[in-house]
Amino acid sequence: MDVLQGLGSGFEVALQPQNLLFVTFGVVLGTMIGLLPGLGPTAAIAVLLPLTFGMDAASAIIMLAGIYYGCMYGGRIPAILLNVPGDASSVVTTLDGYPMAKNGRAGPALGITAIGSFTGGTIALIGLTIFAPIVAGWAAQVGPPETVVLSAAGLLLVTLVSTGSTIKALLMAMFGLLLAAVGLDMISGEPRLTFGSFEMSNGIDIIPLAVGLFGLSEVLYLSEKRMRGSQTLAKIKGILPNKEDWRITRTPILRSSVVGFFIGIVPGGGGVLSSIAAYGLQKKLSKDPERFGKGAPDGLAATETADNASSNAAFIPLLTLGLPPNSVLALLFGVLMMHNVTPGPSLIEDHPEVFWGVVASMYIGNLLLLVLNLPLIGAFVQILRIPMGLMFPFVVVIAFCGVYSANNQLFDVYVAAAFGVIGYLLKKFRFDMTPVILGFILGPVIENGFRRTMVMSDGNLAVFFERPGTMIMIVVLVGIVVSIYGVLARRKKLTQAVDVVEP
Amino acid sequence: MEIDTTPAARLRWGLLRRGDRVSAAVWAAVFLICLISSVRLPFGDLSIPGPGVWPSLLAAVGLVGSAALFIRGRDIPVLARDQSGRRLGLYLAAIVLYAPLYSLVGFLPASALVLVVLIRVAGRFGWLATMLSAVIGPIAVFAIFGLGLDVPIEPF
Repeated sequence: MDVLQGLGSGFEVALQPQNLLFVTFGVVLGTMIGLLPGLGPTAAIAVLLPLTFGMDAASAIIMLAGIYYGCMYGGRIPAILLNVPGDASSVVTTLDGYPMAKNGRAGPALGITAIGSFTGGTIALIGLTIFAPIVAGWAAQVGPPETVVLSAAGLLLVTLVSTGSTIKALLMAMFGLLLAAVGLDMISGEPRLTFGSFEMSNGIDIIPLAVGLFGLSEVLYLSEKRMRGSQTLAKIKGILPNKEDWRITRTPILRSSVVGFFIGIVPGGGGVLSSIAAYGLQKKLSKDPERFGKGAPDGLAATETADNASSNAAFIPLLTLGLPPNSVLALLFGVLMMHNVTPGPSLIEDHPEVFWGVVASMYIGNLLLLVLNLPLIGAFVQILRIPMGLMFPFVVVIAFCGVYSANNQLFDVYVAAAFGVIGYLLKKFRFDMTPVILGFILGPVIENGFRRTMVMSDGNLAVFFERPGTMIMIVVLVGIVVSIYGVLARRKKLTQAVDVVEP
Repeated sequence: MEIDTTPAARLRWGLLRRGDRVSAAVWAAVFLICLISSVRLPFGDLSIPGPGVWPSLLAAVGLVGSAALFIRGRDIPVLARDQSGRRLGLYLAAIVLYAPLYSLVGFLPASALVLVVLIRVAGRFGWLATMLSAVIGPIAVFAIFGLGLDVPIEPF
């Protein structure tokens, strides 16, 4: 199946009425949730994931992907209007977005964000459409040793680029990998780390884990803070950028689309890293860099474009290699597995309707985001007035139903509550939880691959350094680590800013 | 949100002013328990690794990481000037007690009670907003999950 034919069949799936409805629902709901300071895409998807149980795999991912990029855009609105970033990557948005709003240019700032996000997202989608089948074709040739190295490298990269201390991120990765090892051993059937519990012998389900760690922990964390709705919003008028804005933002938008795309492919590279890299590059190339931080539209455009481009590009490693590069896509990985669809090289061949349907729906979702947000921005921002104290109790009730519906057992609810408390404590003690969920997802892949490699090589560990595929991956990994070093150093400065604006 | 990192705030948190050391000690205990539990499992040999190899390896790396955190970690926990322990306690109680409450009285009364506590007591909203939310909310959620998605939730 060639690319155009595949994309055509994908649009057939994505344009089915129910899928159009799901993507629209996802984008609108995602934007609304993204608007609520604190509740990011991971928490939203974790809590809403059980809604997809009754859907087929393609529809489930179409809706959740819509929530994902809706949330990403929605999170920019409070960052621009209130200087309240919902997540680390929107801290960079506040640098020029909020000054623009303060200067009476909130409308154009939101307009530039929407247009930049749309352009970046679309360019990344074109890249996804062209490159994903090529990467999948290559990945289909690799054996267990390459799978182990690739997955371990992905986890390592995410650990390296996660927020805060690297040692803490490493501990989180180990914790996630250990959680995945709980239950019956896949080869011998021996119970591992179950501590005599019958329920634990089935292993830990991703739903209670995700809802607890990302949903309930967030509610607990935010429950400590003042929970009022925002009363003072900057006035929004004239959402479309003026001629001068168009002139100075068009090149940064195109450039940042490419930057965001390539950074997004690297595990851990999406979001904050791509935003910082694009912002830094734009500032470096600007003739008058002193404007940056004071409401420079090109700075804002670079950040937002790269962020959305990287979010879409992140689907390449998920769909072609089975390697989720961030916590949201780790959850989508879990959803696909729940629907008996294994993300990876064989996805395009085995489930073309899922792969191409999701890609096509992303084109539609991206367009919807632009079409809905430009005229409806005034309505969306009213959500910022809803008090958090009225929203969070409902998150608790919905989370309960969602977790219970996974296996219809209360044990899962207790597990979710426990992980909610653990997640809250981890946040308080400044542990980034992304490596936990990635470790949990990649744990069985790495262990399985390792054991198969050992059987295949008769216990020869040198096999990891003798095969050309693994050697290339190790060299590429070292290259990536070196090249992101500069971005990491720049990110370190911003980490303090994230701490200061912690909601 | 401004983080209160003044010496007085750190002292107020007592032991937690050594936040990383406290968390490192807890993690060391967790990984140690996992290591003890894993080393009892068969190890096999390198050509056919047994079920104990992988978790033991992970727990051992985790122990080393915990030691490194104990030695090098200098972070204090996130502190905020306007944090409310009372509200946190209420949310914590609601999350932990929701499931046992459901077992006792069913979904609708349990959810209504949770909503009343969280909206009225924790959120300090008026009775009208509280009662409307506590009555309509659980029914709407039950309609989505119990009726729409066929989740076998007991309403009472």
